[in-house]
Amino acid sequence: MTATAARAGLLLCDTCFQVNRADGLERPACARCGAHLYARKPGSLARSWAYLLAAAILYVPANMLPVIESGSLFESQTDTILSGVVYLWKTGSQFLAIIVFTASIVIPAAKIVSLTVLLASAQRRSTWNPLWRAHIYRVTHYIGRWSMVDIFVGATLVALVQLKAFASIVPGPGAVFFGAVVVLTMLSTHSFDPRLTWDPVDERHE
Amino acid sequence: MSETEPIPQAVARKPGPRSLQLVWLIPIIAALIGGYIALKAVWERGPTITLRFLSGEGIEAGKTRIKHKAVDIGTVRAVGLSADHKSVVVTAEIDRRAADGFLVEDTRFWVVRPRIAGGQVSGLGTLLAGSYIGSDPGKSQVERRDFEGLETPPPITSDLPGRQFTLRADDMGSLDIGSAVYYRGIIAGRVVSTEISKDGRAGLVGIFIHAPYDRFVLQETRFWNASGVDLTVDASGVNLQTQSLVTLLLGGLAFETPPEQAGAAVADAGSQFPLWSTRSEAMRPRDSVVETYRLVFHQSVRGLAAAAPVDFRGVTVGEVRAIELEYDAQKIEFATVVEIHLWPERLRGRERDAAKSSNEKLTPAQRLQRFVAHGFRAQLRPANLLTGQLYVALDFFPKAAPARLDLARTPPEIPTLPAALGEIQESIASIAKNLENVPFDKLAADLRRALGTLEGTLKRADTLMTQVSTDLAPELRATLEQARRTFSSAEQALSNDSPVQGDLRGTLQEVTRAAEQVRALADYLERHPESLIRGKRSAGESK
Repeated sequence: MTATAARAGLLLCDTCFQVNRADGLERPACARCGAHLYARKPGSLARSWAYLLAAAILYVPANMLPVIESGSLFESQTDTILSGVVYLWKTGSQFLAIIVFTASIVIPAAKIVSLTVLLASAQRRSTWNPLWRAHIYRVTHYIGRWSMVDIFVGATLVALVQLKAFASIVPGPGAVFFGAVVVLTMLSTHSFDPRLTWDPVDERHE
Repeated sequence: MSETEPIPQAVARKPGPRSLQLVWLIPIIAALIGGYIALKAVWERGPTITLRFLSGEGIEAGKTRIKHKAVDIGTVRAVGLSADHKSVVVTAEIDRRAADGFLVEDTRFWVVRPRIAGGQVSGLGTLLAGSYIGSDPGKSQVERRDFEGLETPPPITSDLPGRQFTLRADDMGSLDIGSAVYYRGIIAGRVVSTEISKDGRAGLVGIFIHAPYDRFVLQETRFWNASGVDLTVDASGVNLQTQSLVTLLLGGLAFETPPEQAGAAVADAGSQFPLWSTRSEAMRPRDSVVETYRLVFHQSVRGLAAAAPVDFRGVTVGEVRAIELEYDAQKIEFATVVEIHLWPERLRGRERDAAKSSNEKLTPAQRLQRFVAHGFRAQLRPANLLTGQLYVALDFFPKAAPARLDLARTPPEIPTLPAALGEIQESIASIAKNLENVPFDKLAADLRRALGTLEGTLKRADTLMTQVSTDLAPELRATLEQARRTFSSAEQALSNDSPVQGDLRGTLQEVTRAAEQVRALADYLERHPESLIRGKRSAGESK
């Protein structure tokens, strides 16, 4: 039996980090700042699932649609993330190609997969390898912000290369979906309550 | 902090609306958007077509666009070789919106590359941006998915207003696709195709006349090759005609309708016209009605050639088309069959006044039949006694043996008379008569005498020559020897180091000195003329 705040009837305010005594209240609020108090994020799993599902759906158009439409004096070209990676690789910038591939394709996919694992195991109240799962959660949370590299590059280029007829770069529809995927996975990570990983473990120990 | 400090008691909160389920709107919206995009992609995915080209130069899978009027309508998906490795098969995807009614039987595709032809430069943009595939939708209703690509862009796209015609030419000259067609000096159209007719006997030139000008192409319009310089020298002097300098270099056509034919109907699209080589040839009046007849001669027609004139009392009314031999196996004899073309319009009677004209309407052939009954015959006559050229003469010979024109035969045969040998015989007889008067025997005697004299002369000349060679030659040699000696001594005498030269130089120096002395004397005398009388003074006195 592990001692946890929840078992002791204590609730931590997520807003001002004040510890409160719940004392069996139906709908407790923080004594100091009045924020909602809860032992576990309400509807955490459902929210996470919803965001994750949306992210997984949008991941497809994000990779299929062009993220950048570049036009020069004589031709216009549209590039999806993958075609950009292929182009970089072919033109000799293998290092850049690996960075873009990792940041823009592997990481979002890995996030979606790891979140699925976390959510599924939490839902099934699995006690399988909780330490490893906690680790996954931390990594997922940490790398989330780095997936936006592509969007940043695109935004910079769009702002820089505006020579009207000679050369111009316009963001494609893929960029919107890509940004949405990143934001949705971050929201999903944020909605997930990592304590859910440990609850079944603690119960088993009882 | 210590345990004594109380942990504050949470306060109760009023129940609020639960908004948990709203979060599921997000994946629903995402699914809707994703589904919409997927459906749109599937919906817009147009048909795939295959194009065959001789060369895949400049065509790249995934990059090369298919354009119509410079608007993208598709993309090349794959480029490969055909099974027989002889052509390039390009697989392309056409946008659904553009594909409607576009992919029909006579739709044309070609690769746009930089090109310089017919004085025009095209496709410069592709130098930097790469080639693309141009297209021109057809008008057919029959759908099609595989096309033979053109190697050169069609000069005329199907949506241009105007009409196409075909010209039949013996010689293309410098005509090429893109050559201009002029109407009164204005570019009214272009040559769109050049090919050889199926029988290989003429070149077919396809031309396209643009809309405002195509109505000037009438059924009687004449086309001619304006590529060169038309220089004619005739009774009216020297006549030089050219179209613009550009046509001189690049070739071109011109057309015009003879003024007397201005009322002719507008020609249908696709009609065929002959292409004349010069304007004067083109604008010559034409005999539109041509009738073929055959003449049978039982004599040599040596000197008669195709295109020889058929003449009626000095007026050319037709021409010889062909000359053939016919063998009659029964009679074992050869007959020469001459096929002639008659232009009956030139034989027409003076029937302008309809009231006076004969009531019955006769065809030219029927009229000719009537002529034949009155002794109308063909005859070979020499056009030129020196070269022996013949022509066919038509005339009335009232005394000729009766004959008739058989209209049932094709071509009908006009009866002939033997050549007008009478005239020739007459002149030959007169020549012979003159020859008779020539005193040949007397001439021969004179000739013999002259020859005898000539022989004597030659003999004398011969003896003279021998005398020259025996007597004169040694003398001549001695003389030459002597002359050579004289020359060599003269040469010695004149050479730089010869004593003569030395003496001469010494003498000259003496002379120079003497002259100086004389000058000194003269000077002295000028100053002291008295010395002539008194004698030269001593040095002391002179001061």
